[in-house]
Amino acid sequence: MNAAFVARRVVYGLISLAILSAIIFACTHLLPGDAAVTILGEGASSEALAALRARLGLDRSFLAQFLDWLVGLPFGAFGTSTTLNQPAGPIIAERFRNSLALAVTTLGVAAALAIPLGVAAAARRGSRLDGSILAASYVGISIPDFVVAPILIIVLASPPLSLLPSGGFVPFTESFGGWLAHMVLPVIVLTFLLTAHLLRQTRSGMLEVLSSDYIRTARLKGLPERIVLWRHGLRNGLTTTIAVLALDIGYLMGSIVIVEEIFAYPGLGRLMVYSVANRDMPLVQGSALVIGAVYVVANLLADLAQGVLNPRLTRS
Amino acid sequence: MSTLATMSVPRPPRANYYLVIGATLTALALAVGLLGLLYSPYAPAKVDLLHRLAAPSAAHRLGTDRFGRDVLSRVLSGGWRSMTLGFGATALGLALGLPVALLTGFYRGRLDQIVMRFVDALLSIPTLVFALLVIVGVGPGLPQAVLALGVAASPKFVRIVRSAVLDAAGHDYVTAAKARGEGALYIQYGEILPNVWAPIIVEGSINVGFALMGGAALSYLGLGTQPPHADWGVMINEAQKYISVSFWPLLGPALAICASVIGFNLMGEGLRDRLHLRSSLSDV
Repeated sequence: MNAAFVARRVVYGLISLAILSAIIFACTHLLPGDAAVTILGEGASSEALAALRARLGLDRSFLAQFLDWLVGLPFGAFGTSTTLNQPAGPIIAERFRNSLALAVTTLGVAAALAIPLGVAAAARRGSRLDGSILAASYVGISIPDFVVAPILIIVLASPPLSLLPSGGFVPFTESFGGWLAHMVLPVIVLTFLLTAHLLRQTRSGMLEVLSSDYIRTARLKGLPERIVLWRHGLRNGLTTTIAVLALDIGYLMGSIVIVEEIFAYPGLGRLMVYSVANRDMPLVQGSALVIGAVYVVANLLADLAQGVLNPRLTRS
Repeated sequence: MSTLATMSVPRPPRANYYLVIGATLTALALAVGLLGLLYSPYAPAKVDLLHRLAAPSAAHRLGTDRFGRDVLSRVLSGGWRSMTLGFGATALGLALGLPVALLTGFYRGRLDQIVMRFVDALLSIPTLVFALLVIVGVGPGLPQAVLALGVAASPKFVRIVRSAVLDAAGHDYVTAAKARGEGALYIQYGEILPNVWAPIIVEGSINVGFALMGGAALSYLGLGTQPPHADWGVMINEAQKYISVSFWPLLGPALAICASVIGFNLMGEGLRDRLHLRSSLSDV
């Protein structure tokens, strides 16, 4: 892989992040509403509001506030939470670790389920197996997480079974078993949706690869279908699958908001919902930016991985 | 979409199950939404403390919730709110996205590059998170949720419609219109737009399903429709709190949401198949 390709991708990623942070900051500032009013309430005197605005730096120009915020970001300074009166950075970092644990586990389980199923469906296109896999995945992407979750709670977390806690969180350092038990239900819900989605994409990616000439050559050579499919097909199909996985991280980060809220799991998504409901702008900006950044970074890594798998892509 | 290209790929006629099932479910969902405006067996807010969390019976076909309110009546009367979220957000997303897509796809060049960088950055925020960002400015409520989901859907529409516009702009009828000296606005809206309606209809239909689900999610989070008013998301939120006692209040709104989302998605897929379009960004 050549250095120019890597450099170009990294610069694209940085530009995306810069635009993203500008958009997020603008969303939370150009729209009506002001943190000072939120903190002091509608009935506050104008002197008190002015004093608080000066303390929070809200009386400065939009650009000055934005640059101030932007410069702090690389050092983990996300401002001060207006409702918790603590630096937003450490709160976001802790929640991010919890969300990452959910996301990485889900991604691993979903990939392990969806890739073989997607390849199998593509290999037997039009068969009954393909039809049922497609239909099941269709139902999967159409059932909202807030419907799947209560059903799982009824079955697994309520009497008579009561196998798992219905929500909450135990820190990793306190009890590994407890930590794991609280992750199971959220991961199942997230996996359910992600697998359905990933499966459909893997299937269509594989179908494209399987219709190409080199696969026909491999078959005509008399190679066993197993080798054609899993060695020749999947190796090329993998470039598509990696791109899809990266795109699906965006999808996953969206689902995490709802799923964490349902299971009272203290991650970024739940923090986002909390901070939106309480109009805690530094937390809103920080959590939205981190969620967007995960997607940007995942796509950057996917681009680089594709460059390794298919060096032709690295020539401009 | 070019007519020539579509004509050159004749397909064997076969039953389009997606379209049939999708259209049926969609019609059913719309019927529920409309019927609910005119009729419900009970007043949706009528409290009956003697029959709380009751299982379905002849009197209450879908059971009752924790206040003894009739679940069927609430599913019916909440239907139009959920439909408003789906259709309203999609219409708004298109109204915002179409002009940008036509403009950038028509002029291309530097403008297109800059705008698309912004669109790509916006696409890196999950739709629901983007909607939450808008909600933080405008506050919770049904119209606000429509606004939020519409704004959040617009970058996706820009992406999809722009690629159709780019395709259309290379055709002879556009060159001919330019040679005739037609104005840029006329060419965009009079010549190109009528030729890109197919992907718009397909993506629009699929988006109605996703926006309906997103709207229910916002309501579920307490940021969309505000209680005591009901929509399907609010109902699921309320039902979940008493789930260990009874799951009957969950059943009605859950079925309603799932059936409508599957309906709009299948209809979009079916239309895509019927209109001979390749699959696109719709799942992002």
